[in-house]
Amino acid sequence: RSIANWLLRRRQLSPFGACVNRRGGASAALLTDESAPDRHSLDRHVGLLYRPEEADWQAVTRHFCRPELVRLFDTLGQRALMVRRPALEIGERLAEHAGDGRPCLRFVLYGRRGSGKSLQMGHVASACRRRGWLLVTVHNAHLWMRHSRELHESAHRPGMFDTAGYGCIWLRHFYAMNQEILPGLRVTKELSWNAKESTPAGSSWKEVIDYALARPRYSCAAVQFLIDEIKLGSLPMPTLVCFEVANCLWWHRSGIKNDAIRRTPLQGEEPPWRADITAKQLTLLDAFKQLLDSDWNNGAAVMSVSPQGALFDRLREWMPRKLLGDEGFAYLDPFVPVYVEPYGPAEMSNMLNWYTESGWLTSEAAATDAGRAELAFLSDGNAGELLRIAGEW
Amino acid sequence: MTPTGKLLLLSGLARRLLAAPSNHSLAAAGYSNSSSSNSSDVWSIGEGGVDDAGAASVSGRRGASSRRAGFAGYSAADVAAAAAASNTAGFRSLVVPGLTKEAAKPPLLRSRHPLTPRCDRMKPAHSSWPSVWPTARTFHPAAVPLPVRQGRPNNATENAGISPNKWGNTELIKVPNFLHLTPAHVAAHCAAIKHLCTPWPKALDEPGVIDKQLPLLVVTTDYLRSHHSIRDIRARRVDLSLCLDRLVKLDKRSLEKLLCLVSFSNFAKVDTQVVGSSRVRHLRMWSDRCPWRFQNYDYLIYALSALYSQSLRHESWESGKAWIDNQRYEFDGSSSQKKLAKLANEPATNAVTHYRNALIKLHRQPENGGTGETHDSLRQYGRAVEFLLGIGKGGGGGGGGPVKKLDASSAQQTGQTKRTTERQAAS
Repeated sequence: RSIANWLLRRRQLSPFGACVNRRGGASAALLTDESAPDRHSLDRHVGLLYRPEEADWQAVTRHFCRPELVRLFDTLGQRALMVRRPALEIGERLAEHAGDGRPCLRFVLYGRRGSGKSLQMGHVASACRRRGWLLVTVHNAHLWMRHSRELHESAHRPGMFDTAGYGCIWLRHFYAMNQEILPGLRVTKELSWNAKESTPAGSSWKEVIDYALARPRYSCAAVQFLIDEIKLGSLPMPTLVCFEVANCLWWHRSGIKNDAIRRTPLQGEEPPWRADITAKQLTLLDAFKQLLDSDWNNGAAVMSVSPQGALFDRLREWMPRKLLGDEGFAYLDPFVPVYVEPYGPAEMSNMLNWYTESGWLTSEAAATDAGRAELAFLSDGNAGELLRIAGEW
Repeated sequence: MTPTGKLLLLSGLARRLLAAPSNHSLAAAGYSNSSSSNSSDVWSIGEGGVDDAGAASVSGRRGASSRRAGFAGYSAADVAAAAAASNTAGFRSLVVPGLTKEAAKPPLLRSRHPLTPRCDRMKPAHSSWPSVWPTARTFHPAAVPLPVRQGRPNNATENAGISPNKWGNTELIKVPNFLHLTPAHVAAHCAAIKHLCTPWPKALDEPGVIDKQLPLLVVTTDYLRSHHSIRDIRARRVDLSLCLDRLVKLDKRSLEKLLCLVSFSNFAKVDTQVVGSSRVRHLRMWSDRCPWRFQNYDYLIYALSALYSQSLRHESWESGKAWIDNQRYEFDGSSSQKKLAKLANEPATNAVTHYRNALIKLHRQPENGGTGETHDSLRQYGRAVEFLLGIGKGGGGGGGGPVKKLDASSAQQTGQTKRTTERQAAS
């Protein structure tokens, strides 16, 4: 509060002080003290900013933010995220209905690039984590399809390809996110890695993950085994699956060609026709796709569709049916589409206030009504655009 | 050789004299051809022409002269007149045709200054342009009463820096002209064939009647180019348009087949206009694949006939049509319908109806009765799904499992007990 007063006095003393014609109370950013996302409610907290707790941030929310937002928070030394309607609506549905023995509920977030879909998913994920759910989050599926990293033919699923590097990275990320829950989880059946090695039933999930991290070529198989466990529906807690850029799972193109394995054909074997390796042929992506199906209980899936997953095509589309295509839509049907809108006037005002208070907007013109109107116009309500443009003011 | 003989040689007539036998005796006897009978008294030998040869040569000369007069083609009367004119003091003058300069010839018909050209003599009141220029013809400067110029001088000295006029202008001759198609021409042509025409039916002027009576619309375009060639290859294109309601015997199945066949072609499409609650469908085809316009028209008529007859014909293998072959989205047979069976509970009928309507509205494009993908249709779909699955604000509705609240007594809820009770207490 004292900082706000100091800023107000500084504005009054500056040569642009006369331009400031806002009402006194409106310059303050509206923050809420409620830092627990699962306690945010539609009545009270919509449009307010909240500061995530350190543990939540490091474990969950950080992964859903764009690198530039993480850098911003590091620069400013403080974090504030906006509580918005889509996340609260999904959170409400999940709290009431998921995990009741009904099939997996599916929500698809859609909106323009930079409108805040991933952050809404992050809000839902941290709320569910606080409720004790198991989190399975995938952030980089579209990047997995652009570059191949240690691609090799799959042993546990013949005819498909393993990406061992990405499997290991994901297992490490999964473990870090669910550190408190994982020690309590046990594997229900024996997992055989190959003819000789196997993990017995009843061993903890941590052992499986450790084994896969030590033997990277089995990392995708480990992911598949864990997902099979989740789909049995016998876990003590519900599972939340968060999949960013889900439309890349049904894409017919990718950045990987099928000669990325670079092995010489066997004698008598024809070299394969050079084509893209699609998501259907990657075991890691197919495993997560199985989680998005509705044939398992005790869980929910929240995913977003974005032109980023559209890979060389449909770059201007942002509606779910066009991005998912006929196949993706038929797979996910019935799902609840949730639109992430651009900022409304109240949200925009609040965001600009916070940028000013935290010191991101340094220009004196940004404090004036005309400057704020210009910022609102240039960004057109898009959260990501506002962040980038405000960096220049 | 006498001087006259030399003259004769020079004139080239001596050849004839030497060839022909001399008939001095005949000449001396006064014999001559009838044409020169008048000139027997006239000495055609010039003054002082008597030489040393004596009488023989004189007679020979006389004979020669009379013969010469006959060969050279001048009549004796001309020679006599010329001699008489030039003869002064009673002396006969020597007139050598071709050599003697004759005085006072009548003026030639072709002179340096021609007659006034026709274009300057033409008066609008007296002449009609169609009669001057009845058909297409190359430009003629004298016939066209216009001060037309064409061309551009390269510099200020060429043609005094102005465009060349029409006289001798080949550029004006090279380009096509339409002087044979002026309004006066057109009026004259129309007047000539008017007796073969019937009046325009007044009933066709009412709106909508002409579409009913003449349903086929054929559009062709003519192009005019001011270029060295007046041809334009775009003129061969023919567009054809037909309202599908006018095709009789086209039932639902045939119409679907026609739409399917049209979707395969790259020269036909069906435009659907939503007018109020009804749909008006137009079949539009175009062709510029043939070099000439009438060929393209014939092709379009053939293609239309083939399309119509094939869509009326139903093959046995068409019964193998799958759900994906539908022209527009159908809920029956779709994967969404199949998934309804996999729901945990049997959904209520009205929930299924809402779901079906929402899907149809979302998938079908406006020309097929839906709205396509919009925020509204997506929101409606979301609400229908919530109602179907039993989630949502109300929490009631159709399918979904039994609602089991997490309770504190369950041993599985480690670490959640407190929070659960808080939530239950709050709600």
